[in-house]
Amino acid sequence: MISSIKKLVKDFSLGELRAGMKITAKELVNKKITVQYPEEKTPISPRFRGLHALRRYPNGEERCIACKLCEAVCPANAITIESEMRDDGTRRTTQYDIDLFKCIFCGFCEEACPVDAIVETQIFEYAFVDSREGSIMDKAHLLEVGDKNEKMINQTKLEDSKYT
Amino acid sequence: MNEVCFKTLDQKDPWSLKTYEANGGYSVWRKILKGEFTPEQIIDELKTSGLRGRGGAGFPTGLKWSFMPRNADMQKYVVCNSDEGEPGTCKDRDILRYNPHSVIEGMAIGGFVMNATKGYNYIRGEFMEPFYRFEGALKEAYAEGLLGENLYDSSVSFDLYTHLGAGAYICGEETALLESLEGKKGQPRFKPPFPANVGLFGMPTTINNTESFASVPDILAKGGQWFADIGVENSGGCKLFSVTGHVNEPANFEVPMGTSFKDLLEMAGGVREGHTLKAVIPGGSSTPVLTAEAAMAMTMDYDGIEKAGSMLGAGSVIIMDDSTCMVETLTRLAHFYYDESCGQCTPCREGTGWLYRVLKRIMDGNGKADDIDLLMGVQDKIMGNTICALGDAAAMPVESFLRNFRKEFEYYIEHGKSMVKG
Amino acid sequence: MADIEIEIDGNIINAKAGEMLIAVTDREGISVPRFCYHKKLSIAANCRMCLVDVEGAPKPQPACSTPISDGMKIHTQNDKAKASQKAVMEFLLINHPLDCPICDQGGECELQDVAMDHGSDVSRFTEGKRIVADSDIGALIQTDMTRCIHCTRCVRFGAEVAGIMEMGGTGRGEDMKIEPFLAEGIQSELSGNMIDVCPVGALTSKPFRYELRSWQMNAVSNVARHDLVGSNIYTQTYKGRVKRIVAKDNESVNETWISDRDRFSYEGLSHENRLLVPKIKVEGAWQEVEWNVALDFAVRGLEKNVRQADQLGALSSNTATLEEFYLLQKILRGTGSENIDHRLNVKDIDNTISLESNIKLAGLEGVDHALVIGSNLRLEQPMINHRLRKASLSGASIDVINAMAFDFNYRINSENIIAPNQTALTLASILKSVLKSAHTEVPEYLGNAEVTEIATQLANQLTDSDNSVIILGEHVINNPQALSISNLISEIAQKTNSTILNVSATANSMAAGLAHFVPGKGGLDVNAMLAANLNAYILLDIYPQYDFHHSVQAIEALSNDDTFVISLNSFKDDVVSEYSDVLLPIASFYETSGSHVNVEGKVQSFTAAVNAPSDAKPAWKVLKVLADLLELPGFHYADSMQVTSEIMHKSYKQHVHDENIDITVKRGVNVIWQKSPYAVDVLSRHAVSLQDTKIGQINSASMNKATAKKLEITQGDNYLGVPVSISESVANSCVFVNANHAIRGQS
Repeated sequence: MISSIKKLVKDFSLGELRAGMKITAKELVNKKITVQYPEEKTPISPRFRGLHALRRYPNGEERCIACKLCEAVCPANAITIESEMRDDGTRRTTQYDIDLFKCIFCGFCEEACPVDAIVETQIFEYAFVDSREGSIMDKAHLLEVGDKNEKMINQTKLEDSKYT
Repeated sequence: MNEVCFKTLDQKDPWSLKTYEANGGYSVWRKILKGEFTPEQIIDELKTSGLRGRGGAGFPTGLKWSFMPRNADMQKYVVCNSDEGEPGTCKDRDILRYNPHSVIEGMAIGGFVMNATKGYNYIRGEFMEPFYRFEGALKEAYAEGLLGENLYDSSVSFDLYTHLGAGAYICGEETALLESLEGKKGQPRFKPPFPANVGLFGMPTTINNTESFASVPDILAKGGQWFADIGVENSGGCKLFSVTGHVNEPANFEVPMGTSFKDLLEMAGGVREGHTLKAVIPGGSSTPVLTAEAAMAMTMDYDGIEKAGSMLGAGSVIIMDDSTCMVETLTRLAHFYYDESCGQCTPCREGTGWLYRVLKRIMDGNGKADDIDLLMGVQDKIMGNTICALGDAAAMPVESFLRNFRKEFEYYIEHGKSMVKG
Repeated sequence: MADIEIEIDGNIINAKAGEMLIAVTDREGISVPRFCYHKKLSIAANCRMCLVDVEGAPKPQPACSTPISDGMKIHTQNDKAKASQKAVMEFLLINHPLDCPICDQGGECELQDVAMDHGSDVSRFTEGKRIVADSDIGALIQTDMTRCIHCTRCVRFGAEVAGIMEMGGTGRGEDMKIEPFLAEGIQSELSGNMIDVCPVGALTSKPFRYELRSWQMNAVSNVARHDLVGSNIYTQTYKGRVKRIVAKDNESVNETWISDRDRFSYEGLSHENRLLVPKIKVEGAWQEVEWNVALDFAVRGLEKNVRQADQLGALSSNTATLEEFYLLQKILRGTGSENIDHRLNVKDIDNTISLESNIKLAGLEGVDHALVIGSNLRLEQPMINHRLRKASLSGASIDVINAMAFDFNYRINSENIIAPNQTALTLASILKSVLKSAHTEVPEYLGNAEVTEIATQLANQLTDSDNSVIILGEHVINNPQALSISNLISEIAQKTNSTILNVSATANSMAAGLAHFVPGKGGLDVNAMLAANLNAYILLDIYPQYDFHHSVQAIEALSNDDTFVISLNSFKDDVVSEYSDVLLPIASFYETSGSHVNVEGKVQSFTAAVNAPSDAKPAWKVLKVLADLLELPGFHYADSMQVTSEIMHKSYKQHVHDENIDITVKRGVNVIWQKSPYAVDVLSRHAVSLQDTKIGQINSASMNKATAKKLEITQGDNYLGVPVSISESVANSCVFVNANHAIRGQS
């Protein structure tokens, strides 16, 4: 009996509404945590494993020496490499494909690489809508990603080097 | 002093057949040719004499000779190891220069005992004078009819050839010497089989040091007991010691086994004026180094030196006074073994270079605190893991230098300069 | 066999006294690391990796050179053994480059494997590593001597197995280098085995360089068909292509070795000259067509042209498989024709060798005497020569009767350079000497043979040995008295109790005999067929300019306008296109299943390692379908093994020649014509790297000055299209032609 009277009073004095408005008022001035993607982005760890890239040395020579360790370690069999002896006698790839349909972004390829050639960048916004072939990255494409983002790759590797 | 190998030293033309025969030379050989000695008698006399291999290992000569299958129906060989290459050693050179006939007679006797009709004397490549002396002596012996076939109408034959090496230390190792003698690259063979079964050209072969052969005629002429009595228990006879280094009169001394080091040092004129004795390598560069205190208390015989913590080796006593930087000395020794490793087996081929490079780095002032442990570790890994003794020979000085003079190494590493020379 | 008991790691093991410890541990499956030890090579004990602890021995002992004795107690895993092994491993690694990622041995490297077990993870070596300059040692072997660990397996292989010490250690200590002594590099016909024995990446396959990792390939057991041995191999394949060939152990056939020809001929498989699509010739122009069109065309052509059964002929090269031989003869016999032959290089079928071998390959090692007649054994049959070399090393005396001095890699007791027209006479005097010393009656046909001193010596060698063999080679097949020679040898062998090894045939021709691929009753042999102007032929992988003895006549006969020719070929060839009416692309070596029959009669079956490229099909399938289309009965095979078992249930009698022996010396210049070692078949002719070796470039017509004068030619001229080389090592009145028909180009 008493509790129902209490409830009646509370209802008529708009108690719950006020409690709700109180939170609204508080959040109105508080710092917002919602990120307005794509205008805003969350920070990414230097260890983030995004789109692959093949790197070059500063003199422009590609790093990859076709050792095929990434191909061997890849648990999803996403990497395909063909190699030969280049005219200057060095061991080089003639084909380096990563099938992004298969790739599980585990980062083993990067870990296996003895020359830091294959890396996973922080790029995660890619979509291949136009064709199926687009999601099978070939060597030229991988090198292009590497060339474009070398600065970013260098930076993230530097940040990460403290923890390795 | 100078009773056996050097007994003709003070006479005119000590190397000539005339001088040698005037001192009773070839009397034993002539007796053998007359049939007055049996091989068994000779082996017994040698066993009594306590003569042990003078090349370094100190294996009893009589016992070694008795191992040869003398009745086997095949060519057998006697080989003399005159490839004297151990740093600090120069005794065989002087035997060949001043008493070559004793070596010829000793080898001929060996040939008779082991039923080997052919002998080779492998002389170190750099020994030109001793080579010509020995060749001259050979000519004299052949002219006198002391060498050749069916000598003095007996059934005994012995031909002796000289072979000049090409300058590799490793060819002083007996099986590498055999390879070199066969015309191959001088590399030790693995044992077994031992040369007594499969030696030169695959035939039974006995290899002895020059000094061992040179001692044999006198032992047989005067009796094994006479020789044994010169020395001490377990080390019969007298021994040539090449005393070199920081002494006033470096020379070869033939002294009875058991002579005290102090006396030997005195014979060599003592340490240079104004300096004190610091260290002694008693048996050639591959034997462990001793501190002055340990050396001064030792007697020069197999057991005496072993008790002091080293080995008699080839009897090459290297004296170092207080002006010696032990780091520098060890680096020089390490370079020698690095340079002379034959390259056949892994620990020595790779390890000697490693030891030298670390020491060189220390000498260049780039030593690191854990280099001493590294050197100790590396020498320990070479020790005992190689085909021949060169690996051990390279490891032992490192171990003993570091053990006895560790402070100097630590100083050098810390300060980048020598504790002695500054 | 258990003589004594030893204890290894606490287990009692029975073994023979004096065996090397490592042989015992290997047999018992106890792992002892090693680099220099190889079961087929002498013991070097130089790597020191196999050090183990033997109780009572002050130092650790190398298992490879420690003979065991009764009651020995060995520890392979205790602290002392492990410490020694670890020590040696560290030493091996200090100067070994860390270039595994670009090293072709990576993944199949003994050093890598052992380092995983015995190496430490961090190197204490901070000084500079050793770098060794490489020299080019030929077209087959790639060197990276910085990686060399000085195990000397290659050196010992050369000295002990190949018989020429081409590699050796020079310099000493750290500067010791393993390198060829001569600037011209490695020339041995067995050189590729050095790649197999090298435990690291110092010696790797040059044609295979940087292509693949070992783990990427499938290894399929196979049999090489280039010679009479049938060496067992692994064809390593990747994405349907043969990428490398390595030896497979088979003690009774090739032990652990294979010849360079067997190892590197695979390169020809991907040559641009491969025939890939069926073609038919319509009004003189070639059309690429589907298989059914081509086969229909072939069948209609046969029906139209063959009005009488005996107007059809079948010829095959000697590299065909047993099943292919069998099916082709079955088709011919099914249509009623007996015109079947494979002996294309024989001048006169009625006057040639017919001898059956009666010695096993492994048995060859045990002979105490061998008489080699008419063979450059080393280059023709490398593995048979290797067996004979082993016999020689264990004391066998070897005599040779040849028309030219060849380079044998063992000691020859007496080398007799005898002109081909004198060979029969020489053998006759040997036989006469044998009969005389046995006080047997000398038959009339030996009447005017004079027993010379040489003949007596050769005869005595044969009679005096308990276990002698007469080896008859390829050079005799076209001798003017080949049949007589053959019969004389058979007589000599019988009288001296010798065995016979007939190596006059090539490749898989033993299979042709087993499949009865020879003319039957009323059938024509190859030369008769070509003379008879047949109306139609089925040709199996034939390249007439190389394969026929009478090549000009052959091309002429096949090019007849009214002759319908069905060619099953694995490679394109202009001459073949010229005369053929249908070209059917067939699978080459390793692309088809089948069987090889070796010189001792051993049938070795194999499966296809890869599919034939493009539209090419295995020849046995093509022949089966052809038979079906011809509506011949009895061709219901599902796989080639069914064909094999059908063959095994039949047996044919060998063609027996009558025993006529003629020993009169025929005057005139004799030509011994032989394909050079790396041009024996179409596949090796297309193997690019093989052709770049010294053996691959053999191409000469050798004769002595007197013969050259008689023929009016000089050095620099060509003889039968082959450059003339004047050499006094050739017998008088004899021209020895080694023709190289290598085909250059891309592969």
